[in-house]
Amino acid sequence: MQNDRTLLQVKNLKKYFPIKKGVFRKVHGYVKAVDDVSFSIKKGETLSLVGESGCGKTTIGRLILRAIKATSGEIIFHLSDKEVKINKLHESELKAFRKYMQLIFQDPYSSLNPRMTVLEIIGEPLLVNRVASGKVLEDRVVELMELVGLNSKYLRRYPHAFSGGQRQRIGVARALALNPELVIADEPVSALDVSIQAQILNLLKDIQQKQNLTYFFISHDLSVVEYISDTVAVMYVGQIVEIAKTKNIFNHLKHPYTEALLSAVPRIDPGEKRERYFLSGEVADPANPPDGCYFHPRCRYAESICKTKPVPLTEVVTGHFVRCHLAEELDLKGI
Amino acid sequence: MENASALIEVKNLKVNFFLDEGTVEAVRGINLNIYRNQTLGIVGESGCGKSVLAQAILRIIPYPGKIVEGEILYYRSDDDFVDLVKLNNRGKEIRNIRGSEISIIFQEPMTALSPLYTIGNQIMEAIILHQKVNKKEARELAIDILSKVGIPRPDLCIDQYPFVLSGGLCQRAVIAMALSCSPNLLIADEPTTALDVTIQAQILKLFQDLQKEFNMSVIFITHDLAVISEMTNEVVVMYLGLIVEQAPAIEIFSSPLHPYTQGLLRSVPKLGIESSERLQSIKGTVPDPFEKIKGCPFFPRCPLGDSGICKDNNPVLNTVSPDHKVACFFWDKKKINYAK
Repeated sequence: MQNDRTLLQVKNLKKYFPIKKGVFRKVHGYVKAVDDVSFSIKKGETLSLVGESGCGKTTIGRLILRAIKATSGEIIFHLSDKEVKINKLHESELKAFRKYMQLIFQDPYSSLNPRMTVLEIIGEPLLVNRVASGKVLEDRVVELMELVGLNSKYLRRYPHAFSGGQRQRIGVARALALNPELVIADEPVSALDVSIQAQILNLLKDIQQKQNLTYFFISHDLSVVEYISDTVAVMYVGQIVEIAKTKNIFNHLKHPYTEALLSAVPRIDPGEKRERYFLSGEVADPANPPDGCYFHPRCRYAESICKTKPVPLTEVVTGHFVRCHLAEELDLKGI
Repeated sequence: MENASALIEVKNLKVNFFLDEGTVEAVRGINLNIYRNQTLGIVGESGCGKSVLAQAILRIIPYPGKIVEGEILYYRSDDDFVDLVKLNNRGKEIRNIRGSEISIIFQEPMTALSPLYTIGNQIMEAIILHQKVNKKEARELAIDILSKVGIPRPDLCIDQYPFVLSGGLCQRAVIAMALSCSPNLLIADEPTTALDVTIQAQILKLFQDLQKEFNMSVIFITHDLAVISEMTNEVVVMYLGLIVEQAPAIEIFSSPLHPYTQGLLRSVPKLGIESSERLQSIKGTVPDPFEKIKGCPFFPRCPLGDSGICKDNNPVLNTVSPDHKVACFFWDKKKINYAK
C-alpha cells in the first residue's frame, strides 16, 4: 500500500480573515486563522490534524477543498497524470476538479437532507457530475451501501429512519460515491457514541485498505488520532507546532504543547495515579498573537528567548518537524 | 461506603414519555443510593436514560415525560427526609430544593447561560432567590464564588455577557452558579463534553478541588469512560433505562462483569496501544426506543447471549460480591479477564 507517491502538498499556506469595523467597513486587522502551514500527504496514508478549537484545523480543510480561497501559499494536488494547483484553479475548472476530493462531516444529523431518500443523498454527487443516472446510478448506490455496511433494502428510506451511526455510514457512502482520491474527514466520529465510534473508525480503516484511499483527518481526540493516522500534525493558533509519524508524536514528542495535550487526555487506568501537567490559561487570540513563540505564555519551559524571537518549524530528526526554540534540549514525556 | 449515610435513595424509579407515536420507557425501574460526599458516575450511550434519571431527581422532566412509579427519597438528615416524587413539580418546596440543595450543570455552557443577562446577574439571581441577602451582598458572594472556580479577575468578569467569554470560562461560570448556594448534591450532566481536552482537564481538576471544599455529593453523568475513571469512586453502567452493572471504579475498569461494560471498554481507542489492533466494537445499535423489551435489554447485541433464557427473561441486578452488582445471567461463566 505504501507507494511513495505524494498526493497532496501544501506549501506556506496562509489564510487571514480581515476584521472590519465602522460604517465604511475599514479593515482593522487580521485574524491569522492559518499562518504559514506546510505539509504533504502520501497516497494511501492518513494525515491527522489535532489541536484545540479555534486553532484553524477546519479552515485548512476548507482551504484544501477550496470552499474558501487562501490568502497566499500553494496547495498542489498530484493526480497520476498531472499536477493541479488548487489555489490557482479558475472557477470553471473547479467544479470538475472537486470530484477528486470529498468531505465527511461531523454531525450526521445535520449533514443529511431530511427530505431526500438515501438513494437521492448518495446518488446526488453521481447525478451532479453526470457520472451515472437511472438504473446504473441505483446499482452504484446499492454497491456503496453494501461497502459501508448498510442494508440495501433501505434504499428508499429517509434519514430520520436511521440511527446516528447508520447516518454517518450514509455520509461516508456519499463521500465515496465518486471514487475520490482524497477524503477530508472533519471530526467524523466526535458526535457518535463510543460503541458506534469504534464501528465507524473500523469502517474508515477497512475502506482505506480496500481502495487505497487517502484521508485528511481532522480531530481533537488524540486517542482516535493515534488509532487512525500515519502522520500527525499538531496545530496551535494557526501554525503547525509539531509534525511527525504517529509513533514519534506519541512516544518521542518534542514540543511542550504536544506534551500538554497528551497529559490532558483522561485515561482509563484505575488506581494508577499519574503525574499530570495542566495547561493554564486560554488559547492565544489569533488576531493578536503574543510576540515570539505563540505558546510561550502557557509553556512551563519558556525562557527569555521564547518571549521575543519567533520560532521557525525546524527538522529535528528526519521527518520530525518542531516549532520550538528548546526542542533539542527538552526531554519530554510521551505516553 | 457501607456505613456512610445516604443522601438520596432512588427506589424502583420508572419514567415514561407519552408521545403520539407510542410510549417510551426511558427509565425502567432503577434502585440507587447516593451517599454523602460520594462521587457517583453514570455511564451509558445516548438514550440509556442517564439524563432522564438526573432530571427526575430535580423534577424537571420535560413534557410529555412523567414519573410513573417509584420513590426518590432525599435525606436532609438521617431522619428528616422528603419523597421528591410526591412533591408538586411547580410547588414551593421543590423550588426551594432546586438550585440550592440540589443543583445541576448542563453540557453546553453557551446554551445554559442566557445571552441577555450578564454572568453576575445570572449568578446573583440564584443567590437572591435562595438566601436572605440584599443585592450588594449577593454581588459580593457572586464575586467570591467566581474566584473560587478560578475565573481570573472576577470583579470584571461579573459584568460580562456570556458571549464575551470562552467556552471554558462560561463552564466555570455555570459551575459557580450551581455552587453559589452550597448544594448538598451537584448533578453534572456531561459537564466537559463540549470542551477541549486541555480545558476539560482544568475543569475536572476544579471539580475534584471543589468537592473537597464544599463537602457535597456529585453525580457525574458522561459517556466518556476515561473521564469517569478519573473522577468517581462508584460507577453505574446504564443500558436502555436499566442499571446493568454497578461497582467501585477500580473494579469496573479492571474486572468488568457485564458483557456490555466489557464491550464498551474494548471499543474505546486507548493511547499507547498499537494501532494495528482493530477496535472491537459492539455489534448493532441501541434498539428503537418504542420497542417493548421483554428479555435482557442487551441480548440482541450480546456476544454470549443465550436465546433460551436471555431472550425472554430480564436478569435482575444481582449482588455478586459485597460492592459489585451485575444484571446478567451468565456473569460468572463469561468472566473475561480484562487486562491490557
